[in-house]
Amino acid sequence: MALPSSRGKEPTLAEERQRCRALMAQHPLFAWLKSELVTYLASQAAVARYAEGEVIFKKGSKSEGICLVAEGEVLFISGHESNPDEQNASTCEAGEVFGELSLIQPRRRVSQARAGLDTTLYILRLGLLEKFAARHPDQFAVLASNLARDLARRLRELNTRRATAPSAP
Amino acid sequence: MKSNGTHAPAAGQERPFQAFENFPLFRGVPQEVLLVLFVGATEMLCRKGQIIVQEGDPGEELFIIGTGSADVVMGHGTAGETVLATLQAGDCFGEMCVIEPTLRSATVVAREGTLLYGIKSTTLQKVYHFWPQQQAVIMANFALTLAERVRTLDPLYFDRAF
Repeated sequence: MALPSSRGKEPTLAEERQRCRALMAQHPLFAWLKSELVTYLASQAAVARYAEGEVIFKKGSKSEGICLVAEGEVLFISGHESNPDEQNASTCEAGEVFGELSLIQPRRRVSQARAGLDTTLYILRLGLLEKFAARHPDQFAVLASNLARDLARRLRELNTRRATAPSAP
Repeated sequence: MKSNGTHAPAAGQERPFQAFENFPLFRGVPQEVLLVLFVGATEMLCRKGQIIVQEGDPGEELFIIGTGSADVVMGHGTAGETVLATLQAGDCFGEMCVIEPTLRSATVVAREGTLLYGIKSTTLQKVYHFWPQQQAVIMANFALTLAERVRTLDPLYFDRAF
């Protein structure tokens, strides 16, 4: 984990924080949070780099927190019954987030994740999120609402797709 | 507690406040906050087949089923009618409308005599104002409920969400 980047000059800590803040500001999970708290969270994010093909986490490992993909691509390989061949099931690209449900219920991973390309992640670790919840309960409520909103939209889309899908012959 | 419906529940038959403690949506919420939610809630008893909310209507209230059951239907009364889910006691619906202003995405129909509690977004805003930590607990419970529903339709979602 956390290999040094092979892509030229390393960004400075200030640049990493700035980039993390910019990513968070664009993502709906962090919408409506106070600007100074987004800056705070970005300043506390851990940076992890992975070479293409490297395992990011294994199935059954503990979730670490919310991960923002700064660059590269993460492949999630599951062993679902619906996917017995363990093919690449889904991907997460730059600007996207994974691990967001660990915000409300840390669980063990149900899939393995691998870097599809050289990948940089910013990780808001569970300890940081717990501290954030204790110190800023109103803002944690905003985060939880954003997560619920995202899930409600997702559910609505899935239901619409299901209702409009042509029925099997 | 306001009453709005065809019947009021018989007094002394049960303690609805106690029922609130058992709703998954309010898991972990202390009694003082439950009391505010209960006082602000509207109680309704629906007949079998009665439409509780209609797809496309505006809404600013979420509902929790106290007793009975209800079908969530898209395209109700049309050739393409699809039953998306059957909800039981303790389940909630209409939650999207209290998170952001939006139209009802489906019709919900009572399958039998069903007791409902309606909670308006203004009541949840009060909770947020006075007990932000508890609002976070309620929203987290919301999210968990929704996540389980999403999981049944899109198992791959959980691969990345945890």
